[in-house]
Amino acid sequence: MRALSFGLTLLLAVSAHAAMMGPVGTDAALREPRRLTAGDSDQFLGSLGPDGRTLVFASNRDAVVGAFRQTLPDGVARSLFDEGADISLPRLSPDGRTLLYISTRDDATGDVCLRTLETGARRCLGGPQTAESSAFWFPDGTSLGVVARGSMHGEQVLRRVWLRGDKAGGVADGEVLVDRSVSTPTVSPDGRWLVYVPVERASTAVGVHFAMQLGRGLHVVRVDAPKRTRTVRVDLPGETGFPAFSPDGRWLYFTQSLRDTNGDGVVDGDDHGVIFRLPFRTGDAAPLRGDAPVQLTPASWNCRYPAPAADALYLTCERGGRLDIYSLPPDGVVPAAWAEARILTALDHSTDPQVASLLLANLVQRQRQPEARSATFGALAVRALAGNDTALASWYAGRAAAEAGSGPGSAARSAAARALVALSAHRKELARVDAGARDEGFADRADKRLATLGEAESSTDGQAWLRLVRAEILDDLGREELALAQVQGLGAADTLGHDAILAVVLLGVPRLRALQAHTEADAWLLAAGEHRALRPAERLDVAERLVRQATRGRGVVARREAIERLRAKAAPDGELAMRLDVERALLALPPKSKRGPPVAATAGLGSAEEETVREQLFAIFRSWRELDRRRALVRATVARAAAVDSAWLLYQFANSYVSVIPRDHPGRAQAVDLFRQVVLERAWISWNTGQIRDARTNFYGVTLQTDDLEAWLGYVEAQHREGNRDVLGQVTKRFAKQPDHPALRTVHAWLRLRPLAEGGGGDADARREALEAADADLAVAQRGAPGDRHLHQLRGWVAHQRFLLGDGRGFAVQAHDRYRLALALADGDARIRGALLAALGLLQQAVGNHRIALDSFARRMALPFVDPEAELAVLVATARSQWHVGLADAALATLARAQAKLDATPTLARHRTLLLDRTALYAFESGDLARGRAASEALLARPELQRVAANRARAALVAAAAALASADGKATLAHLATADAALAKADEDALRAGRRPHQPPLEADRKRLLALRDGLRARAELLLGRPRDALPLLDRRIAALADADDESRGRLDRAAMLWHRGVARSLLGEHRAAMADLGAGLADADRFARATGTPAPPERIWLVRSAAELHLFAGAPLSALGRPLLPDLRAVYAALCQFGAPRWRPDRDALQLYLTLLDDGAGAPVAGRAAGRTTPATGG
Amino acid sequence: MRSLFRSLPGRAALLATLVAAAGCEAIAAGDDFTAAYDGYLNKCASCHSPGNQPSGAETSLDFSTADTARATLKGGSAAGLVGNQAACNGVPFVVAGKPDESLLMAVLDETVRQKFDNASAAGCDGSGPISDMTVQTGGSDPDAIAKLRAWIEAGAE
Repeated sequence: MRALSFGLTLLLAVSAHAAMMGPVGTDAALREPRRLTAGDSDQFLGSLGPDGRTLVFASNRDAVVGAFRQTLPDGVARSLFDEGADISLPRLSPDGRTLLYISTRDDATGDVCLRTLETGARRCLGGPQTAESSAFWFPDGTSLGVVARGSMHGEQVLRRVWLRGDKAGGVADGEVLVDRSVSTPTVSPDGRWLVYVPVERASTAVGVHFAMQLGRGLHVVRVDAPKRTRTVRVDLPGETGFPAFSPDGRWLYFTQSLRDTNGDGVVDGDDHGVIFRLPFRTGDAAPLRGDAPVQLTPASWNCRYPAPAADALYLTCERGGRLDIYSLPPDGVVPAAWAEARILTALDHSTDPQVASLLLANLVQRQRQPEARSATFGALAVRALAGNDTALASWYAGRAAAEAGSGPGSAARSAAARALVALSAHRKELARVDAGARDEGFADRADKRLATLGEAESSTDGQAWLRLVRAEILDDLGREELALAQVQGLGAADTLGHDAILAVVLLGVPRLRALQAHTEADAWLLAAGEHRALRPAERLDVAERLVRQATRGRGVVARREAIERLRAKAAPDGELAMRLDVERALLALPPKSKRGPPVAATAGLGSAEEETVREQLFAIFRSWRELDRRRALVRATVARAAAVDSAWLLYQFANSYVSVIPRDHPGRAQAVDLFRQVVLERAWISWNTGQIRDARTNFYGVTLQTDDLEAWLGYVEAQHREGNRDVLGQVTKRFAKQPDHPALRTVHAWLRLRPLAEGGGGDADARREALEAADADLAVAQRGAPGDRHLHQLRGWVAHQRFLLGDGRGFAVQAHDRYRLALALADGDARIRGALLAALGLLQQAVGNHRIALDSFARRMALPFVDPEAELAVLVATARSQWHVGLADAALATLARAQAKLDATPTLARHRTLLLDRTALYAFESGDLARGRAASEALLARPELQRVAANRARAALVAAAAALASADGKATLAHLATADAALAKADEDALRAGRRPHQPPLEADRKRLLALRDGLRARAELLLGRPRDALPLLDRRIAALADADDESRGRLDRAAMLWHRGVARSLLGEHRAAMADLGAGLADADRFARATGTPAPPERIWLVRSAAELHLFAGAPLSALGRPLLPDLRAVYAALCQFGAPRWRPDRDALQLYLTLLDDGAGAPVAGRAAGRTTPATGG
Repeated sequence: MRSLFRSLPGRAALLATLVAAAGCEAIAAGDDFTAAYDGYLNKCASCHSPGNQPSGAETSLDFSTADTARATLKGGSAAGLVGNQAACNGVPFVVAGKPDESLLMAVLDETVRQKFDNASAAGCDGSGPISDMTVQTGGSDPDAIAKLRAWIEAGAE
């Protein structure tokens, strides 16, 4: 149930996505910007180097903004150099050897600098007297264009700075090309033209730098005659910025702030950037005209800094609060080759309003008839109004008015445009009032608009437009009855034309609903749903609105009644009737929990309830040949089937739809994509339900349809599960003529990695070799399949394993970047996102970034799990990181969740031992000694531990430590006896297996365990009041720790043992010897503290406190310590004061007292004054 | 005589070899079905061969080899289809001499599929019951389809 639900939810997301976007670089479907960079930081200002493969960009991933490069298509980001300060605008020279950038290292206001990449040589051309804000290369690479201001309030002028020859010099020596303030200038590839955005002073009181506003339009100047400026007004609303030439010089790209996306009432640089381009004719006297800008990205994307290359356009786009570099074909999301009809078809398929607007904006560029253009601008205005973009709506309405023409229908077009202009202005003002602005004069101005709209209008359509807008204004003024009368007076639907009836649907119906006139609203939708002037796809869209309205928020019975009511009124053969019939059938489809078993015993077939619905739907499907109708049926069925987990219906109708849509139909690619996704999902469902044969055949089916690597890997895994080990042979045969095919190379790599993923793969060298070979395969695959998320994921895993092998932190960075990039590319694919988030968490955990790891694990937990073992793994990993960041209680709670999962899932039983082990550890840390002891003793009783003596010995030692922590000396000794027996048995086992028990590495392990045992036993003897029995054990333990490094835990362990021996000796009255032990322990603790910067580990606190007490209360001479006590005492006291945890308070108070006593009276013992204490405090 | 005796068997053997070679060549060159199988139809084996049928797939076909494919297509008819495709159960894969009435052609050629109307099974027509198998195989192969058409027109032997 859960697996299916997960799969279908995913499928819905995929199919909705597939309905809009297609592969990058093809003309089959709309394109989507492809993400190239990733990370927890921003990546921006990207551009491609002259080799066509090296992307350079700025990123703040290392705290400051630095310059990075990434090789396309398969590389990850690498820092170019360490500037030690923020940089911006990195640009490679035309020969690719030198990087130009603006640095703030030596001049906080900006300095233009050059770095020779090969040598790292750096030189800067500005200096503190100038402030450089941007720079670019002239095409021959011998000079730069630099924008700099010479004084605080000076202009930001553009200079040409020569790098070689007689004119070479610094910025101040450069030739002034433009003596006014400019922003983001660019030069044409032939070096003849400069284009920039003028910058105006917003105030005369201060310099332009402090009160800057972008001027209107683009300025175009000849390089050889820079005084003659030509201003080009781009025919768009909003601000223009970041001009950039295409490499062939035929296009000028730029960013336009088109919509008021931040809702502040102003369209400016704070709003989403939309990328446009204009043709540039370098040979003309006026090479640029602003009247036909081509929109390349939808306004739902926020992109800037276009950097065109030969085959792609590089952009910096903001998604989810992060900036990254994306690529897009140079002609944008809508292929330039698409004709009007193809765009209209895409429009019929589009579900995203901003993409629909983009399509309309591209459509209008192709339309030559003014009346058609006027109508399209009107449609754009209506869509802008629907998105509350009143400024944009006003602009489109103005264009609709300007192109209304004078021929037939011009009166209606003019009236429509006039109505839209008035409505845009009204809504803009209303938005200000709604936002809290004073409404003084609002009503008067609204009345004036009404008067304007009340002028006589001859055309019926024109009257309808005017009535609709009057109704809205009247309603907003509170005159509901008059508003209602306006809509009621629209007349008969069949008298209206195409645009007017759509206007009624988009503007009139919502108004009627606002006025509570639902019956009339439904009547209009009924009429529009059968209106002959609308295209079939538009009628189906109206039908969809009507169905949604009739069923929203109602129970099944009420929905059924509403559908039947509408069906009775619908014409029998219309699109509306068909859509209602579909809805009627779908209403009979119950959720999965209320359905019976499949009608056949094989997986993937439907229940009896699904079969009934399928039959009805298929009868409808067959009865209509029109593809629009069939598409509407499939769309509604897919949505409902996904909502109620009906894989059966999904497969049936995805299959039938793709089987009837002609090969040359524009919707074919989407139908094929939907079908492929359904089959892939079917494969996963079969896999998760153990139907491996079905899974294999479905995976293989997808590999025949596409080069989907996920399907290939699923196929390989299914073959393995079925026992077929010659998968590589099959795949190699299939790609015999394509040895570098991505699928073949990926399968090669996968088969190399499989043993490693299962914990095998031999020793470290063998694993490393396999990882290197797999990565080489994957790199080849990536060249053939750039942007494939699976390849980034696999290469991330390879780098992750290299890091775990100890090959350096650089591999962790690589793994992180690849995982992040795969995560970004897997947007909407919950299955891959889940796997990646878990991998990222484990990577961060391995690096030691436990807090970041916890964030990844939390995001993973928010997604569904198909495999309970995977869920258990994430829970255990989460607990581990929680423990590491000091959240032991939270770690225990997480383990309790894991335990509940394990208890409810019999197949997880083998992990019970692991959970007990972790529970014991975290319980001790959180102070829950009883729970820790119970867990450790339960661990000792686990059957797995009975089989392997060495593991049993370890568990017995853990249980002994638990008993000791609970102050149960007898139980401690009993567990230690068990450990002894187990260690002896381990030796026997080793001998029987033909190994010498004391050879490395077993010997080292055994010695460690024996030392631990001695320490624990000694402490148990002390606890039981037998210090004399403890002493030889402690001697052995201390001797075993003699070689510990200064920074190792062993050094502290020895200090602890010395403290225990000091305690034992003091109990025996051997105070001088006890002091000597404490002194030696303090020396160890001091060395550890200096080496690690940890001034007050618990062992040092115990030692210093005990030494003070032994001296002060038992009269032991300080000289026996072998070192002065006060420095240690002061250091520990200072640390406890600085990092004052509440649990240290008793120690801090005691040390404060001892410091006072030792300072007062030159350290004379106070024995006799104290209450007869003769043994040191047992701080442990 | 001796030379004749000596030479006849040798000539006969040579002749037999030549004939056999010519025969093989003629079959290889003229066997459209084998060529179509090698170039395209072998992909069908992943779902239409014993032990490989996913749920709901046609069950009587065996595309393991060119011979089994030929054998199961000739005289065979669809079985085991479910759901929207169930109407095509019982429809012959191949009607000798009539490619436009052969289900094999309908699943591979959209022109045939759109006009398909088989009298032996009402409902198995181009309105949805006949799956487009070129989607399953990752694309159409006009050359293989032309060879199959020729094979059926020639009697589907």
